[in-house]
Amino acid sequence: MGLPNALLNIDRKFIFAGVALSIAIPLLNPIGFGTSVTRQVQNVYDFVEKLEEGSTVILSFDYEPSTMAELDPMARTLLKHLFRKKARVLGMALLAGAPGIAESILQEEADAAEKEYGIEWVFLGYVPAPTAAMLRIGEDISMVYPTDQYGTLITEFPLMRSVKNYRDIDLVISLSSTAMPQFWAQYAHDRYGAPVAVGATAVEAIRMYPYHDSGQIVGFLGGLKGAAEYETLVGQPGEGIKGMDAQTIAHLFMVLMIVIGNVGHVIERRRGKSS
Amino acid sequence: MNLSGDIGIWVAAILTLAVFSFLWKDNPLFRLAEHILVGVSAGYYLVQYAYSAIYKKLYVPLFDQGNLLFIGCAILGLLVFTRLVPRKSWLSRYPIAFYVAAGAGYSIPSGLQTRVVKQMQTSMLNFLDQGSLWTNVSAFLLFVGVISVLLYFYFSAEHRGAFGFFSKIGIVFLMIGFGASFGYTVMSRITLLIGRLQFLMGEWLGFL
Repeated sequence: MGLPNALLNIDRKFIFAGVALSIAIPLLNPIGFGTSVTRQVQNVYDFVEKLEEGSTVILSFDYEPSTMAELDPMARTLLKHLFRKKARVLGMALLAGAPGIAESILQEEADAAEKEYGIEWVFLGYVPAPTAAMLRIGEDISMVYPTDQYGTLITEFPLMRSVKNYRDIDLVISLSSTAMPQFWAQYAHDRYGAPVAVGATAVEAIRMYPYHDSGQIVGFLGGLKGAAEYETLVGQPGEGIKGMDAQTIAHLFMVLMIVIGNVGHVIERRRGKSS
Repeated sequence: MNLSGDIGIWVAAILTLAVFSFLWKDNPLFRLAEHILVGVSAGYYLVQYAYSAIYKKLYVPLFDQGNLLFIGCAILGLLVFTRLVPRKSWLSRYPIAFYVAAGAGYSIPSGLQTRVVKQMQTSMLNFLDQGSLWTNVSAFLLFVGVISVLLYFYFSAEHRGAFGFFSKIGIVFLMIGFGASFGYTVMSRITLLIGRLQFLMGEWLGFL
């Protein structure tokens, strides 16, 4: 077996082990590569930064446990920023697997910021039929959520007394692993004029560029890098920044594997031609 | 090293390792974890949907608040189950027709506006925008990209001559798009692995 064969036939178990090590080592020994801030993330930060005290923000948890690694860091950093700006947060979930995630993150961040439930934040819980819910919030949010997650009538919360529909909402943020942000843009922004910001998984982030360029969303955070960028802007290093070293090394390892495979392929093809 | 004493974390860690064991080869531990995931997910979603839809959106308005309008909704919903009775299955078409009509009614006009008209408008306006040099170059590339990709998907004429040239440019833009999409997908998958390793090394083993 010659060199090209060796390069082309690396046992995949070694590649798996290589990927695992390229992530584990930087997690144990952070390098601190840092990350540059993109325009899309800066726009979200600037929008939140300009919110006045007492502004009302919908934070919709549109993701399930399979994408927590990407979206949890965004949720935590956005909440830190919103609470710091003294914005009032309406948490909600439009996917069935989301309420547990939303509840724990909202509770932890609200406790850390010493925010009072019902006055500075509320968790409305999960409703099925997300697009119908987005539309009806445009008429009256209490038609979608007559009660919060725990069964209390939302009219009993001081926060909800001044919130009827999108006219009373200063920003909608959708954290999503699906096409949900496109529906938020379609209904909340295009139909009712509410500003929409997005935190998307990296897979979904590429779909956000056209909506950002058209002004249908104010900006977006794409994947772990988006979370790391936002953490940098907010000045609160978290899981996003911690994970970016591992992300970078893992990508370099994959690039190396692709190059090795191609080198082997080129050598083999040249040998084939010459013989 | 500060090993977790939480039983939940131990269960999650063992199941995570069971799933990773598939990377070596298929084995009973992996299949056990897979079956637990499917079973727990099915149970969770059944309860969640039953509570959120049937209890909160039907039982409470109908029985607790006495809103009789919901009787119609309940009947429509129940008609879906007539599919289980072959001779009466035609009745299930009514709720499906209602659902399709309502969905089409609120999503098609706004969907066209959001996903087609607005996007076309942006391409045109950006192309005519008098911004910085980079803005104009970017707008020009976007314009060329949109037109050439659309031409590539025009199949009523043979892709030859000038038409073939532009459709080939369209392929280049498509390849760049696929490459960017692949890059983002890799980032996404690596992040999921980072999340699991952070859990194993941090919450479980206490290294981090």
